Amino acid sequence: MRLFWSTCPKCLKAFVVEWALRHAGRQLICPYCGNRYLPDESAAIDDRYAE
Amino acid sequence: MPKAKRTSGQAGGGAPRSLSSYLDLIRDDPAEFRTVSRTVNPLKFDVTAVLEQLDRRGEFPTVQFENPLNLHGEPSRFPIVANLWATRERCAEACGLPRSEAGRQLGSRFAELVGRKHEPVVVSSDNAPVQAHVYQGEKADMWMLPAVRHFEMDLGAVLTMGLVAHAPGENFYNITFTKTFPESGRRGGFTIHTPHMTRMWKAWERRGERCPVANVLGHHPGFWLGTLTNTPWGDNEYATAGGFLQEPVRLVPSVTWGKDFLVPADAEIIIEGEIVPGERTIVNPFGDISLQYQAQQLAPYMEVTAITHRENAVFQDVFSGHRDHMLLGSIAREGTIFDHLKQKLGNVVAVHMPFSACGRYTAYISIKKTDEGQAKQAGLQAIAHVPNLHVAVVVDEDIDVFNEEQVLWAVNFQVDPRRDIDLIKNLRPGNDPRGIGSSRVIIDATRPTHIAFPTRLRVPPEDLERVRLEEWLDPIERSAR
Repeated sequence: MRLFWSTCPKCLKAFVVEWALRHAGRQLICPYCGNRYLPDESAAIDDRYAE
Repeated sequence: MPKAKRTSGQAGGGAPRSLSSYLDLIRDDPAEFRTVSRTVNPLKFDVTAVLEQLDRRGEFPTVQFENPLNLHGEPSRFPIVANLWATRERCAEACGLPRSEAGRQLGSRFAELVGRKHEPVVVSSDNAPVQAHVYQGEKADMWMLPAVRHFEMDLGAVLTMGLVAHAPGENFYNITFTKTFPESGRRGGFTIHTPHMTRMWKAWERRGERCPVANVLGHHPGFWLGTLTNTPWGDNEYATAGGFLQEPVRLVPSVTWGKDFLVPADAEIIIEGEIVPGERTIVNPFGDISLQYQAQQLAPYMEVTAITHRENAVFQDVFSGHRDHMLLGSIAREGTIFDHLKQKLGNVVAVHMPFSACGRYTAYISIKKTDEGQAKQAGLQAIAHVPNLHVAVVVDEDIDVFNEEQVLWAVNFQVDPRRDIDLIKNLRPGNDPRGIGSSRVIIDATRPTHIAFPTRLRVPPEDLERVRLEEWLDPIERSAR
């Protein structure tokens, strides 16, 4: 299953997200501070992937 | 105000089995049961910090937290109990075995109990302890519960116990462990990882109808072990759970749907709710069985219709990613594989799912081999029968599958990787949420019989029997200089 790491733009902590949410237009919820934001608003994204 | 009802009139004269009745059996033994009386905040990791430290000390008592806060941050009316399944000995007791038979006997006992079904009986609400208190409408607030946030990256508090459902038009029930995230008092997203339960709620969703579910937060440990069996579609898991309880599960019409949906009368707390078709919400991360976080994802959610609980109810939690969680599933899988191989091949001796693979992903299987090829057959059968089993290591009967050193010795010295390791591709179940691959491995670590091959060294057994340490070793004071 493909994953990516999103870094919350508010608290700058990273958490793991299913790839299906990367372009779904749904807000992520930071588990550390509760901030809701779109994936493209992440402070950083690690979406490296290999088959 | 909660609706209070009479709780007397138990069937059969004796008290039916419940979590409370089980806790009464162990609460006087400090090795098995400990309490924490100070106020704990389960959202701030007070609960899991206690359990983690006990785990690191190699101590695995069931722990009851007497004074937790609920999700509103107020004192909860419900104590939390966790670590119920954290030792094989307690699991053996829950299956009606003596504690001394917690090894290979436990798997075969599990297999035996799977076939010993008791049809459930229906009692009235007046005879159902779980409906002593009933909350509906706005008063049915999940945040009254002391739900536990387990790990630092978890999205929040999680209800870790089981969900009951049935398919539209069917009269059998499926019960499976799920994770419910109470995002508000009346709504909770949840993840489902078993094929039958997934099939059920998707059947409701295809019809555009709300799927009725009951989240059961606490019952006798035997009830839960019975729900973990790999039963065929159409089996009523209340009947299977009754086999494990060794008495019929008592059911009561639910508050929301009446006799159209029956719930366990002797549970501690039940949340009744409906899965909303076509809607999804955010759940996870959650620190799960593989000691990794399940990724944030979209999942279905339920809207709460009622909450009921017994007098002096206890809120049950599973300490995920630890012994409590590992044994809960591993014993069921050991029994399932043992039973399946016994029926298919007849040469299985013992099955163990080790903690090193979280009690899920690797099976050590010993067989009485009479011909080459039997080990691979056993491994194939096990992998085909148990979802998420990644590695099957098959050894001879003289290797103790509960002794990992012996198993890994066999892997190191009886396996030619080119000949004895088989890779099976593209077997990932569709609902596997983890970021791991779809391949599986069978390792035939039995001693080859078709070629000349060394044997494992040993001191002659008759001499081990003859030389008794207590007679032959000098006393300690004489050995010391």
